[in-house]
Amino acid sequence: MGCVVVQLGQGGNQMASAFFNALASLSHPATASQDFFRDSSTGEHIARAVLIDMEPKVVAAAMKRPCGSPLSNPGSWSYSQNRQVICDSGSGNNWARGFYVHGPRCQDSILDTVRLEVEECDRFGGFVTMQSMGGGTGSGLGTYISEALRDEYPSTCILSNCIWPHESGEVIVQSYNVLLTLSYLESLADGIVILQNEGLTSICKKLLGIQRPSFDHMNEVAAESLVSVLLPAFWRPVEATLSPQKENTHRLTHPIIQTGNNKPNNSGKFVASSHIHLLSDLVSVLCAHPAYRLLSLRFTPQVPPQSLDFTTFTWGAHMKQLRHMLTMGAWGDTDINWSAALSTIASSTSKVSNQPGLRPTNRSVANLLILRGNGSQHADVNTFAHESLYPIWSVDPLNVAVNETKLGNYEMAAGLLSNCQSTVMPASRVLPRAYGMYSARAYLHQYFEHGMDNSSFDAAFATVEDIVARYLAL
Amino acid sequence: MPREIITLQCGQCGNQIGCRFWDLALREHASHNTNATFDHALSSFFRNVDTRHSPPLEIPTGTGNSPIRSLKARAVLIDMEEGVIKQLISGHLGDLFDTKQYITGNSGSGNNWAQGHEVYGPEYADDILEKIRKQVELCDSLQSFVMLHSLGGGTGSGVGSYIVELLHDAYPQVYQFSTSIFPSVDDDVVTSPYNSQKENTRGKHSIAKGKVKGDKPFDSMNGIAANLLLHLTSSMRFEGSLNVDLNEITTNLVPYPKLHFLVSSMAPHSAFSHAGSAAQQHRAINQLFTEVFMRDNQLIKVDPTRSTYLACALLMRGNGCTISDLHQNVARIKHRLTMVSLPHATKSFRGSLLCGT
Repeated sequence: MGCVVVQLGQGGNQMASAFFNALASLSHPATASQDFFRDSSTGEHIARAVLIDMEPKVVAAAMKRPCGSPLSNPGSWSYSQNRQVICDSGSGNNWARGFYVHGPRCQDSILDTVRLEVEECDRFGGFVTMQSMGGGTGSGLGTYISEALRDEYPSTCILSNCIWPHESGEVIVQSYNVLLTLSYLESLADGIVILQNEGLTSICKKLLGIQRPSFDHMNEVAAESLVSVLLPAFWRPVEATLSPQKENTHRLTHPIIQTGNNKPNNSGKFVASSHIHLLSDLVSVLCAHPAYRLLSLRFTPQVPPQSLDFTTFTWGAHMKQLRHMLTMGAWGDTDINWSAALSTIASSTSKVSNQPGLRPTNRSVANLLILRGNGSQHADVNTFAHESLYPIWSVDPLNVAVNETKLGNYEMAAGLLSNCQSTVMPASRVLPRAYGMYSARAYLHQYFEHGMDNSSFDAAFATVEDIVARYLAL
Repeated sequence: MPREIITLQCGQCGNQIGCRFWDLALREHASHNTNATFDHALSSFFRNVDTRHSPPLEIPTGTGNSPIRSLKARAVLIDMEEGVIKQLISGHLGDLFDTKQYITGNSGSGNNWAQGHEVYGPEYADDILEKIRKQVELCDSLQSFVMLHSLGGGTGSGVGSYIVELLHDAYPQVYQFSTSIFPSVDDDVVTSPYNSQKENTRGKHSIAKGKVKGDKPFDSMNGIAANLLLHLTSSMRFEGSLNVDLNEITTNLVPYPKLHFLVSSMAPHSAFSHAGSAAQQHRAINQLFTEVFMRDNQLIKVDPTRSTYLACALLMRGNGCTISDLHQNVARIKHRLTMVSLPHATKSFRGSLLCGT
């Protein structure tokens, strides 16, 4: 059992630290997730991670975590000291520098370090990479390393978590970096989870009541959502069928069926045959079609921690909220038009772009819903089974997994990983901007200096246009 | 592990700014590093040597925990007359430099660019390159050269520009930042307009500063220039939530190879009294953003609202500032600036955050 987290660049390293923190604090205290932690000889939890950056400061800060025995200090964990790969010079926010200069130079030491960590896994499940797309290291070097990992481990799964920068701009050349990264990763990774800074900021501001969210806040929100889908869970058969009008109703079930009487016992040990296997199960249900690999992540509830004790949760409310978030392509429930009922939304067969004035349905290739908490076994998920959400050719688009153990302090929580159209919206907005810069030849000399030329940019633009068109045609 | 910057001070003005710069750098590090260890941040500008030996023994940075013995600046000082450098060496900063780090001539350049560039440049070229090479060899991973000079005089402009060309050929991979002091309208040097024109800007980037307030003493003006340099490199030396290196500044602010002149501004110029409540602090931060785009805060005599921007980088230092402040204020201020009418330029802001110093 084990997945290795590869942290790339400043964004990746900061988010991964938050991810491990969330894992340690939200999972059952006695059994830290064996998928992401291993036990050292002294009983500490060591994160299965490799930290990579082209400048030393961020990794140094991450390494300085206070260690402690998890018995005395539950939720404590640390990084292993010899799993860091750092250089001195930084990538200068330049994708070409990260890809063509640092990539080949650091490839060997990175692959060696990764191999050391992989060898520590009993049954290796795959790589979870974390990177930002706007900078230089995360995007450029990250892409190069993903390619190297794909070559070195051709049959393992790679789940890339990519941070999409604020659209109002954190880095001036982010349009280029983002498109170049996406164009490569699309064929390298098995699944790409797009985490948008815009969305995280708006969740922090509107739902969690944080007026001026910092990167730490945003990372915590993203980490919580990720943890909700990556902690252990069981498969559950979905009794719902598609909408009754259809002639050939087919049962939405998953090949690994867990029947109702295989409940987990309270100590957290799970029945092996019905466990979700990270990452292969995730990837095979969500990204079975090679042309559709972009995923978006939604989580509920999002309430300020001080209101948690005073909020009552029901599964019905959670399902409704998630369902509407999905339909609207929103991240939080403030952007939702509650009056848009399913039947009034554009009919499922027409293309999204032909409906001016109507907010189109966010259609998905597949959805994975993970429910955690009391009663998750029997929660009603029929609302996700509506046919307008999925294209006609999608087989088994809805998959549900449950875990009776609650997540942290949330009595009931639900995470939704969807392979849906909302993932390409940011890309479709970035394309015109990037074209503008490209046609003005702005900043291109910085990229050409390192071995790129016009054809690489043209190819990248074409690939991303392709991806966007494919998703919009769902 | 550390990334070093070598400072080249050329001419009277360059050396005087350098004097203030090293003073401020030492103070900054002293307030940040309270247990006197030679950490990575210090090694950007300084070396740690043991002066009990002769020649002084270099102490490598290692893990960044070794105690400070004696600090030497990573710098080369050049002037064609002895007065200013001698004053620097005999002052309280004299220990920062050893004899191998400075080059002095005898007769000065007579405020003549040609004298500096055509005569002294070639004459001292080997010596200069040798001394710089020695400094470079003492670096683990050199990030950039910073040239401090004025454009109005003879040595600073003439010899300075010659050196920039030399370095461009000798060290093509290393970035060069040039902090150039523009002469003011009522300058005391008669030939300064010629000298500034001739300044060959082969250097990669120059941050031009004019003498904004003519009747203030030179010392505080030099202090402003020195502060600017410290702020620019602070993200490289200290931790932050969104770091910006010198090469990132280059990538983001130089859209075309020839358009590599940057204008800088700072806010606040005077000491910032720590605001009380969170709301006050929030307003104070917003005020900073407004100020930094005002005409009086620019380090060159231009009016930002009347100029056209290609790109802009905002570096924030200090506690209590978050990325959302940056975004909110950028959205607010963008409307007041004329951005170049290219589709991309409306989003051309680069932000960086540095907390804790």
